[in-house]
Amino acid sequence: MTVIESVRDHVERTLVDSFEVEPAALRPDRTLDGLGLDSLAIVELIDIMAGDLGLILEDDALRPGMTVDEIVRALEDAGESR
Amino acid sequence: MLLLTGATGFLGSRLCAELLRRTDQQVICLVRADSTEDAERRVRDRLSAQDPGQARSHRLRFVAGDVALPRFGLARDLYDALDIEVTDVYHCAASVNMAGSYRRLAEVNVTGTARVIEFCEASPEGDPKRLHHISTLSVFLAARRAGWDRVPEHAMPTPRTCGDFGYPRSKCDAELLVAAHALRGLPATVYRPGLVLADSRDGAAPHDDFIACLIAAAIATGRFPETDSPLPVIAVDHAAQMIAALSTVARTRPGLDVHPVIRPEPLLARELARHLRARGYDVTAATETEWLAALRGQGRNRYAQAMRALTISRHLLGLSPDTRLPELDCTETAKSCAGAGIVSPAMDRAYFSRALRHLSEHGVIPQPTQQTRSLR
Repeated sequence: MTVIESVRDHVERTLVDSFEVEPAALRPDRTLDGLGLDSLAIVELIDIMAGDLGLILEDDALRPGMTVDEIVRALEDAGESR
Repeated sequence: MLLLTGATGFLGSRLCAELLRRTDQQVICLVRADSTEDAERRVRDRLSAQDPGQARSHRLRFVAGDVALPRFGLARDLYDALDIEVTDVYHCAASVNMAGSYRRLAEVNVTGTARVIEFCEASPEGDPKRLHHISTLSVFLAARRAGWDRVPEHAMPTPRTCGDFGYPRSKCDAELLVAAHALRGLPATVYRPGLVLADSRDGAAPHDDFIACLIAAAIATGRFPETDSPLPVIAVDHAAQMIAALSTVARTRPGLDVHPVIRPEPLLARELARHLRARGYDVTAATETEWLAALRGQGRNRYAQAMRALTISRHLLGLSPDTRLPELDCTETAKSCAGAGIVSPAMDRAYFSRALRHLSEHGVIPQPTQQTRSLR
């Protein structure tokens, strides 16, 4: 069986696996800051998404005040503009 | 009796040793630890690496507590005993994560300062304790954008001079809290260290602060943004000496006393590149665009990532005219320090050589290559 992971699934899995976010804390309206990610963690997240999904974002495209929903949308937009 | 917070920190541990050296008082270290024994072990371990004579001092006392909790999280009788015996509080504890958000940093930097002020003012019958508040010159990081090219020595920061960065904003709010209580009678002195650099005696420095990340990222990329940004720097041991000495001289100004804790001569960012080359690291000058591209080109190198994340670095490195650091006046403080016999350690090639050797010995940067060394 092939499992195609959505951008959202991948972002959520990365937050849990690489940034020690509790799965229960993952809600679409939670901000990155609220999940404990500082601006260094956000640059790491940008690099992980670039490496895993080939979705390239500028360093200031994601900010601590953005919600998980907004992050997913920014990445999906980057995918469409390729 | 003196109470010191932040005694396990880079600056706090050296301040602890200086207070023991320059006063005959007991120094009580309030440390976030599991037990008194744990607090003692952590402070003495830290001191023994840099000041073995003071590490064994019998005038050191230890309390396990948390500066951000009501009554520092201490039992009422212990807190009350400290309230009666302590005359001066040196508040050096802070969260210095330059990448952290305001909300998280304020939990320690603003709430902690509020708790310390409460302690200083606690006793209704006795005199309030003098507060020695360790702040940072980064409260003026964005002073040029606020219209200040030169910051007078006794100026107070505003939300505009500190810019929209978590750390400077949290420290600015803490200072404004101290100033508000000073107006109502709290005896207080604010010390504002600039960029605190390696210990002049052995080159020891943090492995993950702004300067370590800048140097490691420059060596990894082979590039350096060689601006003439005037970095307000101070060697950590020099900063500790200045604060300890200034805190024990008689006060000359009414109200809140303020001291910038820096060398009178700033270090230009491009001089740092020169010291890297002198030690055998091949770095070439980069414009802002080239520097940011070189950092991205390093993939997941943690120091390059840190420099990308630290938007504060655009100010520290003065990457554009409006993010240039302001000039900082420190005339009166320099005079007081000279009067107290404080000698400024040289920040020359030998100093940076020790600092870079420390970083390479601890794996932050590679050893300089023999080949590049022999070319110079």
